[in-house]
Amino acid sequence: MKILAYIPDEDWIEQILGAVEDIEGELTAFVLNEKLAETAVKRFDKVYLAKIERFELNTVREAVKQVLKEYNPDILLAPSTNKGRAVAGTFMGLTDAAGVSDVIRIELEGESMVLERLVYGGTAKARLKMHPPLSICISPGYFKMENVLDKPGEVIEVNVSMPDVETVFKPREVSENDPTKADVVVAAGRGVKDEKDMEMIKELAKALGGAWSVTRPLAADYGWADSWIGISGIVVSPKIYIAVGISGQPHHMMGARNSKIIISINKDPNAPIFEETDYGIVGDLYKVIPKILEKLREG
Amino acid sequence: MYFEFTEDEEIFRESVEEFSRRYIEPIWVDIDEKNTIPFDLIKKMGEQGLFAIPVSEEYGGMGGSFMMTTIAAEVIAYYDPAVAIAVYMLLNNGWPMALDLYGTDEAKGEILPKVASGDAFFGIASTESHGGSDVAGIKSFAKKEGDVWIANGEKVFISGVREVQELPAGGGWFYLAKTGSLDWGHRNITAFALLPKWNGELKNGFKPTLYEEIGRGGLSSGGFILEDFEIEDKYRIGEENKGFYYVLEGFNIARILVAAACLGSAQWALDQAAEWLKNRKLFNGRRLSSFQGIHFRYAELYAELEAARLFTYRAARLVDKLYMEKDPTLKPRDLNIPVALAKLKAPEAAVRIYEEVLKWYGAYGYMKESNIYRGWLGTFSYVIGAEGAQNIMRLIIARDLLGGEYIRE
Amino acid sequence: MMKILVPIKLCYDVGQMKFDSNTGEPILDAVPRSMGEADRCALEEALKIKDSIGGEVVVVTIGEARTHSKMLRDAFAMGATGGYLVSTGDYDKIDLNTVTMIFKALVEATGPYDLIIMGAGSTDTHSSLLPPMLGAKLGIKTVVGIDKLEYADGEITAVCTYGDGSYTYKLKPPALLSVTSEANLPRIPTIKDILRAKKMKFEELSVESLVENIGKVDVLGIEKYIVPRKKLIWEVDSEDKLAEALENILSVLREGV
Ligand SMILES: Cc1cc2nc3c(=O)[nH]c(=O)nc-3n(C[C@H](O)[C@H](O)[C@H](O)COP(=O)(O)OP(=O)(O)OC[C@H]3O[C@@H](n4cnc5c(N)ncnc54)[C@H](O)[C@@H]3O)c2cc1C
Ligand SMILES: Cc1cc2nc3c(=O)[nH]c(=O)nc-3n(C[C@H](O)[C@H](O)[C@H](O)COP(=O)(O)OP(=O)(O)OC[C@H]3O[C@@H](n4cnc5c(N)ncnc54)[C@H](O)[C@@H]3O)c2cc1C
Repeated sequence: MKILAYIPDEDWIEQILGAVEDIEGELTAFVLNEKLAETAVKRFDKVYLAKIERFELNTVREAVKQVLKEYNPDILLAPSTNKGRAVAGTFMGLTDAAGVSDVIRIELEGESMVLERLVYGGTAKARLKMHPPLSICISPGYFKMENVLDKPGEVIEVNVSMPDVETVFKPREVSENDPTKADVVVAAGRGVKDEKDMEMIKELAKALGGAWSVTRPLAADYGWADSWIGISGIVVSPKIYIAVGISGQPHHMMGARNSKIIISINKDPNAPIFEETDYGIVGDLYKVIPKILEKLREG
Repeated sequence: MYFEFTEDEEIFRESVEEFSRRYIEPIWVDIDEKNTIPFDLIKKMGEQGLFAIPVSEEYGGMGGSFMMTTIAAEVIAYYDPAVAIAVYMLLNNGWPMALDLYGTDEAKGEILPKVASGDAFFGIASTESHGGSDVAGIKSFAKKEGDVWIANGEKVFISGVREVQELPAGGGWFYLAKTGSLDWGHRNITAFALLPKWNGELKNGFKPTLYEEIGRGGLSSGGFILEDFEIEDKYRIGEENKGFYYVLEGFNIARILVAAACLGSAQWALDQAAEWLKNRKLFNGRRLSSFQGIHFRYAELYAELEAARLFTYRAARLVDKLYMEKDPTLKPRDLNIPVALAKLKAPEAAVRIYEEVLKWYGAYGYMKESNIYRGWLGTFSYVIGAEGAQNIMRLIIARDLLGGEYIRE
Repeated sequence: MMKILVPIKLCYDVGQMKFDSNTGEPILDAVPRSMGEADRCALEEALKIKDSIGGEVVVVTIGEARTHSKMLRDAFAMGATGGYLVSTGDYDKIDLNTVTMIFKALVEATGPYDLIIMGAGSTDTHSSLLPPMLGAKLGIKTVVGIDKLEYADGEITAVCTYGDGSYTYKLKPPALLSVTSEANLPRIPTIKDILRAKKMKFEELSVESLVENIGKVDVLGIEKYIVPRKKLIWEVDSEDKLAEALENILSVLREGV
């Protein structure tokens, strides 16, 4: 099989490779910057590089067209992120390939593939039978490369046209707080009543050497954070996820469910979050969190 | 549940649900605590078209159906189980509709658009201290002098006394007074649109007082004394000395909406309970819902609520047939039994549901933070009587079934 | 004056999913459906443009009159000026390529459109592939996942948040834009809007009149997604219980860190 993988950044290399580890074939990457091409080339047979400094879909579309002239993949792989889906959809539109996103499992079955994907806001998984040519967007955190193979790849640069869509890019402020990379994530929900109480959440995250985040209402409605965890926000997959005053609605859990251990604190014993909890406390977060902080300080 | 709604009724239900989720659900507890519905919510409800729904567009109403009005009362009470907002809304639909049916064009043109926009309140003032159930026995009296009526007397337990004073335009009530003589009876009562504050101006001769209620905190109730209060003749509703009959029609209309509010609130309680019963575990990890004593009771209460819901929807359809479609085979009195059934059953089902749900919640239900009691106290007002006591519903049903002469001995 | 097409989808309310307790399969009949969240935001963006400079906002959906006419009327009540129903009973099974071809054919038959605005992802399946597919298929400028959209003086400004930061794009119609459910708080139709919409009609087109081949998704099965959890829950109604719970949780935390 010929596989073309869109890699938006370094973090995805392992996951993308993990997704197709059991599939024999040629591994080709499609990247948009030179530095990434240099990293990817060690793991892929071939790397198509289109130098597009700021992501702009119409320019990317032209680059994909160039690649397709030379290389006709059976499978396009991409992450289930905004950019990944945009590239995958573009590929599908250009080639008539079929496609799915939010894929959590890939099996080869003769000429066809059986894919498991999350649906209905992450409450269900569907098994689908699909045939290449095919585009697959994988969910973050489900795949990991087991054996690292060095490949003597080559970088092939494709020509890019000048975009006629004016693009201004403002990089995400690199804060020390990056829940997508942290081993421990402390997330606050509407049980936290006041913005100043977020200090307590941040302090807990810090004490555990982790990062903090929130549910959508706290970010989108109250503006206490720039991003949130969930289907319309970021997806985290830490070792430990601590949900503080979060009810556990499917939209939110879709971004948190892949955590190894879920700890939750909620005063309502019926909160749906407890159905998805490893260790839970039914109690007032305003009593529980200070106690935890106290104990952590004691060492 | 299965009951045939039209597509526009369903879209309307969804629109009121969305409105309520956005603007009511987040603040209903606060409203119940602080005893006042913020004016910007009332204004938003006006913009959304939630007042004067069944009133003709000619007079600033929405030109909607009565079924839609019923749906709105039910939905709003689901998101405000303490029912203050739902009752505020239903009063400002039922009584404007009654005014639309029998008021003068001038009064309608003046009052109804302001009610529709949320700038004014229009409720009902019939109850007096000798007993609200006995409308024929009221003691308020209005005497005609030239083009005005001079009204005197006291009304008690009237919803909206504070709101009328505080809203920018003011407002008032569908008001009943004796006009012919003070004798006990039906044929000497006239209905008026009484507007103690109008266009922002408080009129002379209106002496209000406020009571403190145990429930539905957001909506005030109080009383007032009229001392030589002048009512222009254009505010007379319908013919002289026929007010009793008009108010009965108004009560029929309002009672359906009251029933609908009880349904919405009770459904909220049942939904809360379902989550609780499914998740609360006792006796070595058994869910509460797994005990037959509990799930049988749940089913029974649901049956009561559903029966009341069917009574209510049927009554609402009949109102549309009678007043909107002007079905010639129907008369106002044909509503008596269907409405009394709804008003009898819905509040009682609601209160029974609340009493059971409170028990299912155990001690937590008794804690203020569970908020269940707010719905209980709110809906309880309707087994007491607001818009007609329960025994009066029984009386209406029995009278129409057995014949008045057999029950008046 | 602008002519804007807004494709809308009837979506399950995923907050109310129910599953068969034996098989784990979803009981979809019991789940209410309505217009997708992001689709509604897309419609709102289109209506805002119409409100400011005039024009037409046409909605289109794929489905059956029986199930979909209410959603179309809902869109009319919000302010859409016209609508198409591409009728097929298999609307839940047709694959993305077929959907793309249907919309492409519809655009060719009823267009040209200055803008196509759609929801970035559907509430229930949320694959977010259709907008970039359709954009590529139509060969028009495409911006996906827009959190903030403005249209002024003939120019579109679209702000998108992707993983690495925020992108602001400026472009001119014709274009295909997909917006997220963050883009706006959609208007709620008033009762008068709803009564007005009652009198409006949508046009029905058979799916066969637009595409020749109808591809279907081969679904082997759908079941409730459960990640097994330990579910050790402490109800801390006393200091002792709290201490016990904390002891356990702290040991997990210490191990993990
Ligand atoms: C299309 C769409 C997309 C969405 N995407 C996302 C998304 O990506 N991410 C997301 O998070 N949401 C998303 N949502 C919103 C989601 O449906 C929920 O509304 C949201 O997740 C709820 O957030 P919450 O748990 O903080 O609040 P709530 O549901 O209000 O829960 C608060 C919890 O705190 C508890 N609590 C209160 N006080 C205390 C206390 N003192 N101590 C302990 N516990 C307490 C309560 O018991 C309750 O369970 C989306 C919604 C839609 C419609
Ligand atoms: C929250 C609230 C808001 C209200 N708002 C308004 C308002 O806006 N406008 C307004 O006009 N009124 C209003 N009322 C008053 C309401 O209409 C009266 O409470 C109702 O009519 C009953 O009158 P009552 O309280 O005087 O009781 P009574 O009439 O004294 O009745 C007492 C009891 O006797 C029973 N009873 C009465 N007659 C009979 C009979 N013939 N046979 C058997 N039993 C009988 C009743 O069922 C009741 O249980 C409100 C009441 C409440 C609680």
